[in-house]
Amino acid sequence: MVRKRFDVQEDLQTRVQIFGAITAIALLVLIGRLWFLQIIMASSFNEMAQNNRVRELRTEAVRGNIYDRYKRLMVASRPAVSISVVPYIFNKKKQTQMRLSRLLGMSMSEIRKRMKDKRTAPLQTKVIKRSVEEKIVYYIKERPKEFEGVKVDILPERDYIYGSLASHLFGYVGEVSDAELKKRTFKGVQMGDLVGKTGLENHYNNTLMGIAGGERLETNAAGRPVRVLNRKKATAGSSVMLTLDLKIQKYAEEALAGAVGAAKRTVDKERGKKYAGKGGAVVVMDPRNGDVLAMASNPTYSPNIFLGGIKPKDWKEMTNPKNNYPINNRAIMSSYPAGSTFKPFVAAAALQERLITAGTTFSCSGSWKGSSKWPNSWDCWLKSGHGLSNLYRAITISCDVYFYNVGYRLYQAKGEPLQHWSKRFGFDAKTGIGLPFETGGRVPTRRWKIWFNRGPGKEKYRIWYPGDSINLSIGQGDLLVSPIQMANALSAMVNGGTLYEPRLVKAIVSPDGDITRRFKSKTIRKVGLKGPYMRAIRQGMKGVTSGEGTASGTFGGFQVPVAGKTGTAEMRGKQPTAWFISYAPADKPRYVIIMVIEEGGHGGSVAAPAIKNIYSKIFNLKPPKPKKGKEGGTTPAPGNQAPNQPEQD
Amino acid sequence: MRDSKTLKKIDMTLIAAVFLLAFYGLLIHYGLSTKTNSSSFNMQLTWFFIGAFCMLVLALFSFHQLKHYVLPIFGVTIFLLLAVYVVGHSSQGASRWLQIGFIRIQPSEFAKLVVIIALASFLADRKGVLSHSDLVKSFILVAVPALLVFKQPDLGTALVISVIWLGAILVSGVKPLHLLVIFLIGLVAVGVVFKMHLLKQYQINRLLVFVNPNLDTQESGYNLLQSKIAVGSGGLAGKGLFSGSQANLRFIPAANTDFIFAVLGEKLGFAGAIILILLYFFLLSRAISIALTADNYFGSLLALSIATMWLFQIFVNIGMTIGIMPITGIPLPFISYGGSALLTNMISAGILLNIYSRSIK
Repeated sequence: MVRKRFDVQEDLQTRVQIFGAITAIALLVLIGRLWFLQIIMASSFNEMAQNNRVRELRTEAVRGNIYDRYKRLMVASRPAVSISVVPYIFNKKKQTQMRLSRLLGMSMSEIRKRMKDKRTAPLQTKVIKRSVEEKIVYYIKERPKEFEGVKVDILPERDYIYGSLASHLFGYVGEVSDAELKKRTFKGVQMGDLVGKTGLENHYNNTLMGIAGGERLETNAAGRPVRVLNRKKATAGSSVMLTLDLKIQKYAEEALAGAVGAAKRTVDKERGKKYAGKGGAVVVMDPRNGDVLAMASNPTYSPNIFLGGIKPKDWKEMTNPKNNYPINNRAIMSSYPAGSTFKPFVAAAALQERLITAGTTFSCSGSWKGSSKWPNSWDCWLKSGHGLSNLYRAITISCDVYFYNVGYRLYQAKGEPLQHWSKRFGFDAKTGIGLPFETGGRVPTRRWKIWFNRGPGKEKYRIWYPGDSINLSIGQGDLLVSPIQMANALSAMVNGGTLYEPRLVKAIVSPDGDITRRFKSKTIRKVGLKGPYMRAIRQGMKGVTSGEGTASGTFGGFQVPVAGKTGTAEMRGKQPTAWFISYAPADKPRYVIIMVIEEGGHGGSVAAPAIKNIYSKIFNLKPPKPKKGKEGGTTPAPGNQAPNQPEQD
Repeated sequence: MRDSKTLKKIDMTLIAAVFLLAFYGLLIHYGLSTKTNSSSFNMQLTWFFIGAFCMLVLALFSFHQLKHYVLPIFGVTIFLLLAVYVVGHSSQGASRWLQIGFIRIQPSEFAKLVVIIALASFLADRKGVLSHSDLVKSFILVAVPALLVFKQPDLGTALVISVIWLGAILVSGVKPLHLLVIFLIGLVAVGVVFKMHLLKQYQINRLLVFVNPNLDTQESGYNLLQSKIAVGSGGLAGKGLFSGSQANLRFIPAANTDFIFAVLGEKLGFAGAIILILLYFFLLSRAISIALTADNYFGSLLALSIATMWLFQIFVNIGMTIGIMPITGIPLPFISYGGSALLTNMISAGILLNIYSRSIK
């Protein structure tokens, strides 16, 4: 008995010792693991704890306004109703998601995409739709139980006060795209923020947008805020004050729309159908400093359709080729052959290079050949010919043959003087107006032609022929000019030779209304053309609106002296592009106005009358009484010319 | 001499370890309490006084007498476990509590100790030789309360009871062959439990999350992650008793019960955790040494089974908090909130004191 008990105790002893060892090992394993978590991994877990605890809430800044040059409000921000959701509640409610999707007409995947934002989840409310109709808001507000996690917020929204007015300049705003976020196009922008997509809204986005404010909150595990760690007020965006004159902008747009409409009603006799009048552009500039007083493009659109995200139907309309791309700002994005409006600049080059003088005369018989050996001849727009002309007459009647002769001389001269002086006037380069997507146009040169035909089998097209210079001398061939370039070049011609950078923005205005930054007009260069030459050309342009001038029909008897140049630019396979470039008052120019109508016919008959309307309103003139009997007194009714009289070019 | 009613020796180390552990637990509860809510600290403090009183009573009372009361105690316990099903108080889908007047008791906590006493009493009579039938009888003795607890459901406590049995038969000299059979039966049992869907979905999720921590099955993955973040972010010295965003902002689930170690880890850091583990080391080493010096087999088995219970609970509880054990609702001895648990642990310590005072030498 005793013996046995001893044995038992002996066995027990060993087993208890084993148990003791197990205990020691178990505790050491725990310590080892704790060492790993609390010493080695401490900092990364600390960061995770911080991320758990702190949430950031953003408050959008109010976007700055856009004013005209007299601080008249053109674009503002107004409060609008938006639908937001609180992800941590809304995520769990499948039923509510489906109802909201139906109510807002958005797909589930669209809604889900908007809720998915890793950086701010899950406390930040996510804007699902901006500018929601009132009846939808009421529907949701009346059913708080059914729409748990859905919030109705008041968020600032863009208000384009005059609808489509200057829409191409303003551009429009929309929620920042994934691509823009990835490329970091804008500073401090997060998903869901509104940014300028085009126009001034885009170019001055960082100025207009302001700085979003926010709160850093400490939240508990349920995601409910327990205290505010810090708070930053949103800083409203600054406003942009333009050089634009609201009234002139209105006049210009009305006139442009009228001209496009008139073109569409006019019959193209050559082709036996009406002009397509696909669109047009107008620029009103102050030649004394390069201020853009008005700029418009047609067809147009209302930026309001982009509010709260454009509807697919509207976007289809906008991008349908049939509608001639209403979003495009033709004044800066499109370029056309300048046609006869280029002639003053051709003359300038020839005069400066002493290839002609103001007194040089050429005879026009209706067509011209540089040499009898040439296989083909060039026609003047007036088949019957203009007879003998000096430079003044050649500009006023826009004699092509005169300029063929000049072009041939320019061809023979060394160093491509025509291209050189064209570029001095700012052609073939962006003006730097400060709007996105500006085109630089094109002035063809020998080098350009080689580069352009660099492909194999195009060797023979690389040669610069006399015909290239001759075509260029009447603004045809490979020349492309944008409306803003033309306005700028003409301004330089009439202000005594200073090429300004077109100024669209005059100043930046702080949210308190103080001007924080003024933009001075910038000179790109002095063109370097001698004064007398420019005077001679201006003299010719004055003649355009009187006597036998190509626009005398429109401007004859007009109370303010207007000078200008008509143009009808041919493009292969298209109806001609109508140009009119002008300035007034002719002796002391304060306004340069140019207009282009795409496939609009003859500049003198389509664009010139429209520009006259703008001048009438600017100078506050009463419409002139129609003079009876005399042909030159009235505006020629488009498409009503006598059949045997060619349209003026 | 052996049955002397007077206390010969007092194990001051054990008393110190127990009191320090209980104070440590109270400290954590104090750190968790807010200006508006300190009820859990107050409750735990009350239970500590009750527990301390019971511990001293048990220390004075001769543990040999326990043998005589085994049957009635066991019977009452089974009755209480059954009563839970009938008039039990439910919380979070489990009926574990009995409301008696103002207090709420958790019979399964006491059941652990009752099983220990019953088992020790039964095995001590066999004196290290276990026949088949002895083994089966001991198993039935344990299986009845274990199953009742399991069905509450309280998988954790059922596991503790099973482990107590395993520990006890190991110490009592189970034959290797028997052990193999038990192992195989255990495997089959686990298979049956899974096949017959005896586990709740959350219990399965906890296991899945343990195998693959990145798996976010409902709450389990989140709970484990938050617990690890809490412990890890505590660093060397912790964030302070009243700080700690994980605990104070309620990222830690069941912060004052199952996951209280995560709270301790966050607030008091590695240093605080080491102190706790050291206290446990003193506690366990005292229990083990008492098992060695007990004046009879019954005492040794009692002491060792109590140590087994504590060690298992400590390892599983801390282990699950730091991601090396699956999540099971096992309280941390002396620390987790719960009057019944604290009382059971202090009574256990009282029994240990008692065994020590009557030990040989």
